[in-house]
Amino acid sequence: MELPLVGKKFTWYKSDGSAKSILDRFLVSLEWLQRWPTSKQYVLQREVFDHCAIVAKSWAKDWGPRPFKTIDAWLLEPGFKDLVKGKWNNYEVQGNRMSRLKDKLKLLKTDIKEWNKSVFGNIEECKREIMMEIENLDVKDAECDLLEGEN
Amino acid sequence: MIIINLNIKGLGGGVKAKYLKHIIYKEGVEFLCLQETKVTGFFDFKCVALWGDNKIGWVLNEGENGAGGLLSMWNKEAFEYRSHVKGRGFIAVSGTHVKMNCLCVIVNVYATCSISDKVVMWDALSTIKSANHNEVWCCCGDFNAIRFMEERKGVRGFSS
Repeated sequence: MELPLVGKKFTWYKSDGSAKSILDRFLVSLEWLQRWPTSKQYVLQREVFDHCAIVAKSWAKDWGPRPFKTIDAWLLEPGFKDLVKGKWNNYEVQGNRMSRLKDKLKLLKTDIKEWNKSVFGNIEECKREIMMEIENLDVKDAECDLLEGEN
Repeated sequence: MIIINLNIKGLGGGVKAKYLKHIIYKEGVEFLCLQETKVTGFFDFKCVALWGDNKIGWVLNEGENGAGGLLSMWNKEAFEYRSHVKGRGFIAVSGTHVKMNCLCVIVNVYATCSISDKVVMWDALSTIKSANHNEVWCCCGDFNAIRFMEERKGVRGFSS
């Protein structure tokens, strides 16, 4: 049996890029799958070779730490920049530059979360309310014409 | 069981060894299968340098005239070696996966493009397999074959 392929679609690339194929693979016996039921073959990034390295392993990929994200709408909110500036300069962290940056981002994340809650509230909730309102208006519109103000 | 497979096309340069060492460390590789190693008289220290650790075992199949060399290598703490069989274009290593306490055979394959050679090789492997019922099998390598047209792009014509 062939293990499911994850990652890339091909394992071999001709050096000029004109051709590619699956030449390398993992085949296992049925008993192997009983031992390691979640086995998959992960095709790794091609580096200095024309063949890709393939790793066969039996657990889900670790996606690593969560990235730091922002929402565009935050940047439009007047208080946001000042909040970040103020908080950032007042964090007390230790270690080398890299770890200081990491720790500061971590602290900032919690502060922004709180700020987001107080300023924007639960946006999913807001969205649901607005959708409900639109839905109600649509129903009303279907039954009879809307008043001038409701249009 | 974490196995890595790569047709390396010559183990020579430091760049390839460095890449492998990185992957072995990053993925926590327990067993390594390389094809087209193009080395003869492989020395212990070279293997140790490749893995970055001396708790390893290995079997080399030098191939013919430097072509189609194979190297199977493992971490002794993860895999307890029992025996091996070498043939034209393959190495089959039998041993126990320590964590799972599981008898397994790991076959490292390099198939040539010749169909008759392939037939000989697969015949030899299936003979070995039918003689060993207690083990679970994993067979990996460069098979030099595609199973469906979708597995190939950019090559005209169809072979095997």
